[in-house]
Amino acid sequence: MDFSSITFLFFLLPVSVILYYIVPKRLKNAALLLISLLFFAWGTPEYLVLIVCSILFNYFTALEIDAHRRGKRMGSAKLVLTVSVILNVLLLGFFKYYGFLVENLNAIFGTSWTASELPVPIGVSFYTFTLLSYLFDIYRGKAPASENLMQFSLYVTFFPKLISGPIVQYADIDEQLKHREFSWELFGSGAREFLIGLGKKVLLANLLGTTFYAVTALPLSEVNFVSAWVGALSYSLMLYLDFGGYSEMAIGLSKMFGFEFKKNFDYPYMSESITDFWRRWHISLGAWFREYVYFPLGGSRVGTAKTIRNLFVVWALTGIWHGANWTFIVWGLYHGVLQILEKFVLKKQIERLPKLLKQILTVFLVIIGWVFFFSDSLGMALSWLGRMFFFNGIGDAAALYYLGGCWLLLLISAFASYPLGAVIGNNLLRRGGIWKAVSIVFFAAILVFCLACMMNDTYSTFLYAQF
Amino acid sequence: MESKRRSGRKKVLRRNRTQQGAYLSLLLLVFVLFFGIVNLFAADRETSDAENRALAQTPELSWQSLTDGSYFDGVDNYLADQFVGRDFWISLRLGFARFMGASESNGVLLCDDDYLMEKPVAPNQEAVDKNLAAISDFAVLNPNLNICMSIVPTAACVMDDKLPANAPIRDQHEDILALQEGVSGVKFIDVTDALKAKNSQELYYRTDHHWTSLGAYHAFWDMADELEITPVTEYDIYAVSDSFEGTLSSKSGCHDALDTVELYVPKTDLDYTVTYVDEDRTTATIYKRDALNDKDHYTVFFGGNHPRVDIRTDANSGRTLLLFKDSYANCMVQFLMPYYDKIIMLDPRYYYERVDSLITSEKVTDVLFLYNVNTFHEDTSLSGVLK
Repeated sequence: MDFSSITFLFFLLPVSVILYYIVPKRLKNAALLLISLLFFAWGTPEYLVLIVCSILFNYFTALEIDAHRRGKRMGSAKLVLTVSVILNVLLLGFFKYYGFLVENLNAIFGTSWTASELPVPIGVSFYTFTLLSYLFDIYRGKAPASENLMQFSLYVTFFPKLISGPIVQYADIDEQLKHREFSWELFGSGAREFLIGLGKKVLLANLLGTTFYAVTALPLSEVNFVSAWVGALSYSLMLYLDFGGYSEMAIGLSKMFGFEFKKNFDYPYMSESITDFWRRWHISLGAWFREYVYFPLGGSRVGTAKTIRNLFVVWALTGIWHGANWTFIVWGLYHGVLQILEKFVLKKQIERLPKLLKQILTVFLVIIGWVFFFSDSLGMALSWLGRMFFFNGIGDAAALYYLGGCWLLLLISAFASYPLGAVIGNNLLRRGGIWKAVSIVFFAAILVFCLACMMNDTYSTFLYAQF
Repeated sequence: MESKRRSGRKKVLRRNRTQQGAYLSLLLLVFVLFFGIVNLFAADRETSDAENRALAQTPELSWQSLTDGSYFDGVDNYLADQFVGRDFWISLRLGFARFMGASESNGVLLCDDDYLMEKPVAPNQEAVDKNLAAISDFAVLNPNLNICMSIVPTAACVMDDKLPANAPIRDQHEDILALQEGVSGVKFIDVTDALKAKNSQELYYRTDHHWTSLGAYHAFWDMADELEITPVTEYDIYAVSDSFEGTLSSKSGCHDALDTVELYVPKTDLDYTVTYVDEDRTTATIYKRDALNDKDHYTVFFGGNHPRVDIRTDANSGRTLLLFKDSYANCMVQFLMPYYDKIIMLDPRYYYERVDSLITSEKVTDVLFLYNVNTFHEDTSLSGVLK
């Protein structure tokens, strides 16, 4: 289920808020867990048993790791950790990469094995990374293993973050699972973030999708400079507003239940470098890879050659995490190579550039990367890029048609992707008085138009849910 | 001093944000609770007139539907379809999308002057080639018949001045010329220019993919020479509906216009009977008044499509017309009737018998293939009937 669906907004949201606030304090986690399992079952009910088994397995495994660690038997702790990490990764691999693996083996060995197409459990990539974070944190003693099965299950399945994160590290949420206080300040800022995220996703991202899918449905021979850029720009804005909006909804919802997560996006399109971009885009994923892959490999403190190796490992993994396709791997490595260039080759030259130029260059490189991200194959990505650089004429009537149909939307979407709107909002809000009322009306309008757009958008689902 | 003022301003912002947040929380909760509860009590609708389809009903709860997930999909569809004021919300969505620059909705082009138009369809080339070859063969086998063929352009071609700017659509006139090129032994009548010359008139419905009686009238006059008839010039025109909302309206969700349906009755004292062969039913009129109480007022002509309809007249011209047709022809027949003793309308999409025996037994003298480009491009049944 998707937060921008009628079922969620008009059924599960009010039910969960009411249930959460009427049950006594000791039952609040139980209420959230119940709703979370229902939320999970809504997408793929056949996997409810699977998720319960996986939770129990990891719960007991972590207790064992913790016991070994406390008893200073680090060898045993490491063994249990390794086995359980492998099992978790195998499960993820089975659902996400099995078909991809078989396909590539067939291509290499000329075989014709078939992979059965199983539906992927919703949020399996996010869910697995959540569990891995838990096991690592316990092993390293950053937090004690949870003895409370209820709290642990809630950490794993908490519905606002279940489908698409943010990927919360266990050490960050441990305390909140035990104690949460209600405050209007927190609840209200949750509601505000939820509404903003909903508007970004439903009003802007879904409409951008119409343009993007129309342009990419054109035969490649008819795509030219203008239409290729219309496609790339609308995708870049759509992906941010869709995923960023969804993360805002998730964080907002969590606040409504007393949880505070770190933000997952921080205006990524104003980054001054690719390194900076990854501190602003899908922050929780970047942090996860830094914390659990990059640093354990030695990070950047092991000499240039090893640092470069570490970066390649991290970025190949980041790529393939997003999907079982070579396009994602190339996209990940592209970001890795750019960061290596930034760190080791062009560092001095880049520092001398004016800020605005750095921002423009960065966003340009990021957009080039998204072409790999949205293409079905490397071949398509390369021909699309060729068309963005004049290899197939400048434009035609069709390109003008699509540009004419989306320029206003692109402008508004760009506005929503930069902090100017928030700055204006805060300035007006500080003046108070009538502006407070105006802002409420503005949000009410967002809500009304979102409802209208959701009525027809039952078919358009959340982009990032597939990862 | 400066820092004190700044921290004071921060405090004000924080206070105002908290207040605003509390109001926003109430707004969100009241909004979703209000509609959640109203939906719970509002009566369910079986069908939607605006969308011209059956709406999802309460899904059945069973172990099977729960475990395979169909129950959950059912609830999603049910809640969306039965949402209070669904039609209003859909119009609001369309208005928002148009404000943002959209010029089509669910594949329907939103054109000037409240016209809704279907996009010209690309040919199913294999089927089209087969049909054209079958028609050419048919002409060789029947050299004594006056065989005409007209594939009519749709609104997006004839009224292209009303299309959204730069709309990337197929050139239907080129498609028609290609069809003409691909067929032999028949008189191919291209009515595109004749219709385009009159395109300031109401040749097509605004809300439906059909042409109006007036559109068919102009095409008829353009065809008359090749059909070898001298048309009468006087008609009684009856406007039988001014509230027609056609299929494009349902498909796009755009309900800005209502159409008028007109009947053109030639001023002759022609008597005729209409036999719906498959139903074995005979009536004295080609019009079905009851259709005006239903949704689709275009079905006032013959009540829609039938496999075979025979019209017998007292025209005494000694001619029998065999008409291969789609729904565009339904409103053309009113113009053709005075010139034939008998008209046999065949819709190959629903008619499965062979026609060669028909030609001798019914003493056919004239044949007309009448389709619009979109249906002809997608037709896969004509060649089978002609074989």
